[in-house]
Amino acid sequence: MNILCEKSVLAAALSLTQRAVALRSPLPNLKGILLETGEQGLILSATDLEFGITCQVETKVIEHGSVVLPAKILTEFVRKLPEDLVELKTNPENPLQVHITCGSIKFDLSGYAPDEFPNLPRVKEDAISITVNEGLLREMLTQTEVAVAREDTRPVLAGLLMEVEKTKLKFIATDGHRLAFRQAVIPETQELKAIIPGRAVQELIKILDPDMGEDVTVKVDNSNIAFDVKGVALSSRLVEGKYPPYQQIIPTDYKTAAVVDSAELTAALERAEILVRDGGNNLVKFDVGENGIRLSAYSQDIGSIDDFISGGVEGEPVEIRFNVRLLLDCFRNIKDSEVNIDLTGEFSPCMIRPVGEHNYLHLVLPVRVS
Amino acid sequence: MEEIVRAIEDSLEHFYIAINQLKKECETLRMEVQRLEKENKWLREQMPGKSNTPVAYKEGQDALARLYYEGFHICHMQYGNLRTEGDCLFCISLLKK
Repeated sequence: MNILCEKSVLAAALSLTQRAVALRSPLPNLKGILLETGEQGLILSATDLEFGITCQVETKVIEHGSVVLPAKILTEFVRKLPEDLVELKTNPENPLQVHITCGSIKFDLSGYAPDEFPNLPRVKEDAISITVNEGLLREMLTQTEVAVAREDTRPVLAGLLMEVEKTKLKFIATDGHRLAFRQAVIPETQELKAIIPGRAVQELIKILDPDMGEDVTVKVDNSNIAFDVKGVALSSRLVEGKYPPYQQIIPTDYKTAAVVDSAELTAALERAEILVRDGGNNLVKFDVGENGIRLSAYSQDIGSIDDFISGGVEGEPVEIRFNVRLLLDCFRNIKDSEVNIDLTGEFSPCMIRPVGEHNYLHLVLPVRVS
Repeated sequence: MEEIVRAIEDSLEHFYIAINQLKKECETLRMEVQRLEKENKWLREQMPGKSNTPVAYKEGQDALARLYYEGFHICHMQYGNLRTEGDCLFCISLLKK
C-alpha cells in the first residue's frame, strides 16, 4: 500500500473512525484501524464488534493494499504532524510495517494483519431503507438520547427505540424516571421497530451536522442498523429484547396545566442548578399557582434561591419537586418559545411539550420527599 | 228512574269486567317479573368470580401498592427488584390503573 493524503483530511478521518475502536479489548486487531485502498481513495474502518465506523477519503493511491495500524498512536501522531502531504507506505519486505512520511518527518509503525480484522456489523441486502434529513435526524436523536438509561441493568432501556409507522418516524427513550418522545413525518415505508444501542446514538449525533440539509440513509434489518452520511457509514448491532409499552405511561389527562416562556424557565433552572448541584440534592420546588410558577431551591450549606416565572395556569394549584438535571435535559432541547407543563399530581409524571406541538414530549417523574 | 238505575248497573258491570282484566294482566306481569328475576339471578351465577372482581382487584392493587412502597418494582420489566433510584414510571402507571 502506498498513498498520499493531506494531513488535515487524514487526521479528521482518523479522529472520526477511532471512535469505534475497542479501547479495552484483549484482541490487538480491535485496537486498530483498518486502512485499505479502494477506487475512490482510502477507506478507514474500526469496530468493537458491536458498533463500527467506515470512513472514505479521497487520496492519491500509488499502490493498492491494506494494513491495520494501532488507532491511538496513529491518530495522535497524525494530529501532531504539520499541514503537509502525508505518505503512508508499507514496507515491501514486511507488509505489516508502515513508513509514514511528512516533509522531513519519518515514522515507522508496526501494524497487524488486515485479513484478521473482524467484519463490521452489516445489514442484509433486503433491509428496510428510509431517508431522513441530516439536521432533522440530529435534532430528533439529541432530544431523545438524553433519556436513554446509562446503566446496563436493563439492556433494552440502554437503547433508543426507533419506530416507523406508515409515514411517522418515532424515537423513544426512557430510563424509568423520564421518557422522551419525538416523531416526524417521512415518506411512507414499511413498519419497523428497532432498539439502537445508546453508544451508537451518541456517536451518530457527533457525526451528524445540525445545519446540513443532506439526506441520511438508514437501513435496518432484524439484527443490525446502518447510517450512511457524507462518505461515513456507521453500523451497529441492535439491542435484542422487547421495549416496554411506553404508550401506557403517557398521561392522557391533567389536573394542572401551565404555559410558560421556555427560555425564562430554562434560565431559572440553570440558576437553581448552580445552587443545588453543590448541595448534592439536585431538587427544585415548583409552586404552580394562578399566575405562574414559583421556583425555589435550597441547599443547607450554601443558601436558597427563589424565582417566579409568570405564565398561564389552569386547574388546581400544586406544589411539586423535581430533579433539576432531568428538567434541564428536557428544556435545553426545546427550541420553541413557549412550553406546556401538564401535571397530574405531585407523585405522577409531569408532561412537558412545546405549545401546540405534538411531535415532541418529555415526561419527568417528580421526586417524593418523605 | 228505572232506566237510570239500569244504566248505572250496566256501567258497573263493565267496570268490574275491566278491573278483572287488569287484575289478570297484573298477575301475568308479576309472574313475568318473578321469572325475569330468577333468570337474572341464574345468569349472574353462571359468571363465576365476576361479582367478586372489584374486591379481588382492589386487594391485588393494594398488595402491589404495598410492595411498591416497601421499595420494590412492580412493573413487568423489573418485578420484585429493589427500587434503588426512586420512583419508576412503569410502576407508577400500573398503580394509576
